[in-house]
Amino acid sequence: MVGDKESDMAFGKALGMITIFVSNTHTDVKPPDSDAVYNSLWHFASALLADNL
Amino acid sequence: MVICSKAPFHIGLAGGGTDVSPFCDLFGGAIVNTTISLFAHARIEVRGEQIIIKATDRNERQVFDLSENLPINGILDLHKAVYNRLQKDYNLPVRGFHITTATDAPAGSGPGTSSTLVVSILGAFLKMYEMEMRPHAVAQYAYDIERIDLGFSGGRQDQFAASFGGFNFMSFEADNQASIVPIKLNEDYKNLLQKNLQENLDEIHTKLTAKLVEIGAPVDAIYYCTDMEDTSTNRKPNTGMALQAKEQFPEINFS
Repeated sequence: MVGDKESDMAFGKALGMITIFVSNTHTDVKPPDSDAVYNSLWHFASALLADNL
Repeated sequence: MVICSKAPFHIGLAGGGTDVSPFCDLFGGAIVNTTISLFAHARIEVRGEQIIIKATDRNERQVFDLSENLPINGILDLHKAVYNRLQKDYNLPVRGFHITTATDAPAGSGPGTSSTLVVSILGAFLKMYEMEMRPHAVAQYAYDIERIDLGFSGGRQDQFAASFGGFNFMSFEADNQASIVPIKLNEDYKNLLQKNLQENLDEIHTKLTAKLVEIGAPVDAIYYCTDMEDTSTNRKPNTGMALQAKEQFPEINFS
């Protein structure tokens, strides 16, 4: 589950998914509970393509 | 001290353009619009001996020594113009703070992005300075900052929608006269509006998936939730949409 809201992360956790929080669209200083945090969707996509997760 | 503020974006339903001066001053403007569940967010932390301004969605950041007038230079001008105007009008104490903003919709996408952001920033500063301003005054103040102080062109509905929220009929006349009347939709009209918006959304999704197919990235299905109640099984963090997908594609393994 890739998302930029706390509810996205809770949604993913409830289904046993790996959760990725994308942090650049919100002002929350502390990201919610997630398996990984990326600055932007672009950064996540780049990491995914590089198989660098 | 941490202060959070948010203001809703809106979609115009009728009368767009009639709220732009001088048309509205000469002939009167009439607008119907509704705010939506996307917001401009502003967060202020009062601390330190510097003024730090950051827009997370634009990857822009500026740092200043304490001052009552920040330079307008094309970077984060909305933030600085709100601060400058408040300082100029109310001679407020100069103190260090970090302001961070973000918007749920990208700049230039149409729902009054910059004006809504100004209202959100203004709301945060008003809280920081413990000032009271009624929605009408907030909208007019935001309008003056953006359209007069900064010289950005545009109409008047954006600031009023962001400040009042809801489904409204707005009329604008000369001398900054504005009237905001909430519209109470009956269920039939509400359902019709919902249906039409949903058809628009389906059309967007059709075009989007066609574009993705063109670049070799087919999408099997798109799920969305239009329910506003947190109790809806489809509204995240509830798992209804994932279960819909699982029903349609039983091979899905969430973990």
